[in-house]
Amino acid sequence: MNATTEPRADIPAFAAAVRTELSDLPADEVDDLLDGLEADLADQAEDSGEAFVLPDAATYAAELRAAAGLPERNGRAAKVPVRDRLERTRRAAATRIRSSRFGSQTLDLLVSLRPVWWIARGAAFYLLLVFLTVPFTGGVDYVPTNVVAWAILAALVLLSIQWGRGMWLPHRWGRGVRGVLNVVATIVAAIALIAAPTVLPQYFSSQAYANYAVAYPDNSQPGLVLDGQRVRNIFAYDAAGNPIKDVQLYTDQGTQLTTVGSEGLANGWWWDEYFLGGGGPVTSAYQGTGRSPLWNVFPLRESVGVSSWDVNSAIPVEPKEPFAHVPAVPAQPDPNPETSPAPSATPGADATTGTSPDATPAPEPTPVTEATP
Amino acid sequence: MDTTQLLKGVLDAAVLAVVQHEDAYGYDIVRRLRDAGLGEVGDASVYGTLRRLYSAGSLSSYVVPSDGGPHRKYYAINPQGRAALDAQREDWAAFSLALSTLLDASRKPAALRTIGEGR
Repeated sequence: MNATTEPRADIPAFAAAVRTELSDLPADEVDDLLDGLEADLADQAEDSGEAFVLPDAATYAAELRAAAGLPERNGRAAKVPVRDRLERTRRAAATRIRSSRFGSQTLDLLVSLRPVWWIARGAAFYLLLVFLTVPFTGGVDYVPTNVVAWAILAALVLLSIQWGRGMWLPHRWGRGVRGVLNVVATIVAAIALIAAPTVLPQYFSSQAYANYAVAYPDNSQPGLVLDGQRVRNIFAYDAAGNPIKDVQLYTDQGTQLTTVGSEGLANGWWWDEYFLGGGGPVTSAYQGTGRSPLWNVFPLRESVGVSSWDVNSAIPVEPKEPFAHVPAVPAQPDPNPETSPAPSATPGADATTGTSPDATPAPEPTPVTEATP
Repeated sequence: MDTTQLLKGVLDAAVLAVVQHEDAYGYDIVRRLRDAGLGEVGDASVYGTLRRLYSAGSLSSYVVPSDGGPHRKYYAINPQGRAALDAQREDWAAFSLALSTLLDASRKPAALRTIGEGR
């Protein structure tokens, strides 16, 4: 046969390629390893005939190294030894810890707590996402603020748990990604733990403030307040300075102007409970249509010295106004002279001021009549 | 079952066994292993193993020039190699007996000791 006398021409080239792959080893070592390789390959080629195909030189060299117990090539193959070395270190550490009863029990406890880490890792993935999206969201919300964020958090926790159970890792690179993310998640979890003492109180106080603000828009002093003092009653005087009764007041927003505010209205107060039991006069509401308390009619009627237990038997009376009479409203320059047939409507007011008969200091009746419908 | 994985652990014993009666060169040893039924053995693994056994002192080697072709490197077992082979033969006998017993489907399961029990 030709093959014995004429060895295949590609075998020396293959042997040279294998030698190159082993070039990091000492030369005499390589010589020992490859001595006879060409003859062996030639024999193999002869045995296999046409079916003989030279293997990949790099794979072949790696197999030679592994079987011969020689170190793997630095660089390209270095990745594997590092992982193996870590694994060996891990096993050695585990063996050392398990050599004592206490260490063994502690390790078992920690192993049984792994699901806790899986959930924490999922949360750390979420935080990582939060940190990374700061340029777009403009802030860090440690706790999800909307449904989408909650869904993302739930999905990441699920992913982490499945990874912990060894699922959802499609390929070998999946494990690599998990390894990298494990390290990152540990760092993020550490950062979150370090930040927790400052972030959590801030979060809860802001949360409490938010609740507070929603439930009590002006909790500092519900009701009608003037310079921080709760207003008990309001007394109206006409332009001449005489007290008038049953004045209905509204704000510019069209809401009833009351002393008890939203707190009293929402709770259906009949008595101004802010002053109840305080020893002073307590105002009570007028009875509106449908027996609902009407709080925007002034002056409110008052009872003196009522407490919460005798509130039903007390009979409110018309309060004594702070002044029996106040100075009349001085005449104002007429802002709109053309439309001044008004004087006839308020003859009393003009009679006292006198200086300018055309002046109409009677805007009071107008808002009252306007607001009544 | 992936027999290449199984083979890794016992390749030393297998290689020593095929040269215990007659010296052989690299590919000759591969051929003998395959003839013995270990068809999945890779030749590079065998050559690497030969090199390791030689370094460990279980084998000696000598070169035989061949006419017209590259020279051949023969391996021969030495006393140390025989001692190693004897030891591995005993280990294997004990191991294979244990595993065969374990895998024997007709045998009723006995109370097995847990690994690490009584530590």
